[in-house]
Amino acid sequence: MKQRILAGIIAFSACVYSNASMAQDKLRLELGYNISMPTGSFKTNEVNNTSFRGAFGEISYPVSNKLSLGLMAGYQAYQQKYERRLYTTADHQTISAVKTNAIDVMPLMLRGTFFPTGGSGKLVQPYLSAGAGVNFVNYAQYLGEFGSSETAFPLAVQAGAGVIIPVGSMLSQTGLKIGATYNYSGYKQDNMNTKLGNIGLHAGVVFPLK
Amino acid sequence: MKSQYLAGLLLVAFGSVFVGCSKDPLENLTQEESRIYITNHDSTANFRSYSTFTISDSVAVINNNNVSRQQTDVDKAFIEAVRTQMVARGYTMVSRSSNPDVAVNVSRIYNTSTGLISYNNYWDSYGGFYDPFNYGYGGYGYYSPYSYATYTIREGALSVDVLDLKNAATSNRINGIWSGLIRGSGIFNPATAASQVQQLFNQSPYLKKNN
Repeated sequence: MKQRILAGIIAFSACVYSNASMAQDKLRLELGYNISMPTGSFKTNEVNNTSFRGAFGEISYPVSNKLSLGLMAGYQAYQQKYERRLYTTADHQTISAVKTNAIDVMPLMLRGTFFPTGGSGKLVQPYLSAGAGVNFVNYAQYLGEFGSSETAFPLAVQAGAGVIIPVGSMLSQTGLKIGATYNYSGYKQDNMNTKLGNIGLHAGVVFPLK
Repeated sequence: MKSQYLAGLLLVAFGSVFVGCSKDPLENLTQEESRIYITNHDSTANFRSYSTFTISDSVAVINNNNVSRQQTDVDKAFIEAVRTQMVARGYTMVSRSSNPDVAVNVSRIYNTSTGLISYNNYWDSYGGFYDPFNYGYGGYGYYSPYSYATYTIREGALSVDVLDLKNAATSNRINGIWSGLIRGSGIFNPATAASQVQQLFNQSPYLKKNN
């Protein structure tokens, strides 16, 4: 799985590298791979495994040399299987089961990215980002092989930092992006009431669109 | 403008690849892990007040509300496992004609219908396959003060019910005071019957004659 993701990113990077031209102040596209580590009640109550199944994409427009605004969409799948335990209900029912939580989170956000040193022409471009939007959350819980699922659309916010490393001297807006984000979202439905806090680490490619 | 369409298409394609790669949560579940063991009881029952029990040598097979009695190797294994657990909890097995305090019934339940059913439905026709006359209480009805939650039925289940005969005359009915239900894959296996029944009793520490 990981090899397929890496191979996909490398292939896409090569394609972009060969076709992109110098394109200052043009619409940019980012595609990347993301891992996510749950924090807080999300980690304590639902999933404490790091998720290695994640991706994101963003279309952004540079409104100035130091600031770009974009629309970001992503996907992250969390899963945790707990050892057999006893669960009791209010009506004296006791259930012994292996519990599995499976949570898919798909954020859709407006995101601003700030480049303190300017958006191009540097060897490494550090950036800070902040975003807000909505998460599409699909939450499934299984007791043994018997499960139920529910969906919700809680608000979500994100803050991030990282660097963009330009690829090739003639392609100042094409680069590799490495960074981290902190993501926060409330979730309250029938089966789960928690905060979907998590730290994401990502790597991807950034390139201008003609 | 083409580039925006291209970008959108790429995002959708990229996202679809990852969404399609979502792992099946049940992919690596073993048969043992697939099973759930559910127990419930009458919270007003005093299990230490009962001393003797009887258990049938066959099981009721409830298949879409059609009932028959069977005695397969699987059934024998489950009956023996229940008997062993009851004795281990301090109860004495006696014949049905010796005025046992409780009766223990083992049932296999199959339902091939789709949708949701309530498992307590089988109590509605309990007298049809466990005639109260057999316990010396002809004409009495059965009653359970509790019920199982509803689940989507995918395959068979095995239930064990403990019925209060000692107080049947007082309450004018035979009350269910404890139930165990096993659901999941590979239930009907004589080799694992003992461990499955043991799990039901392990999670019911109150079900015993002695301290």
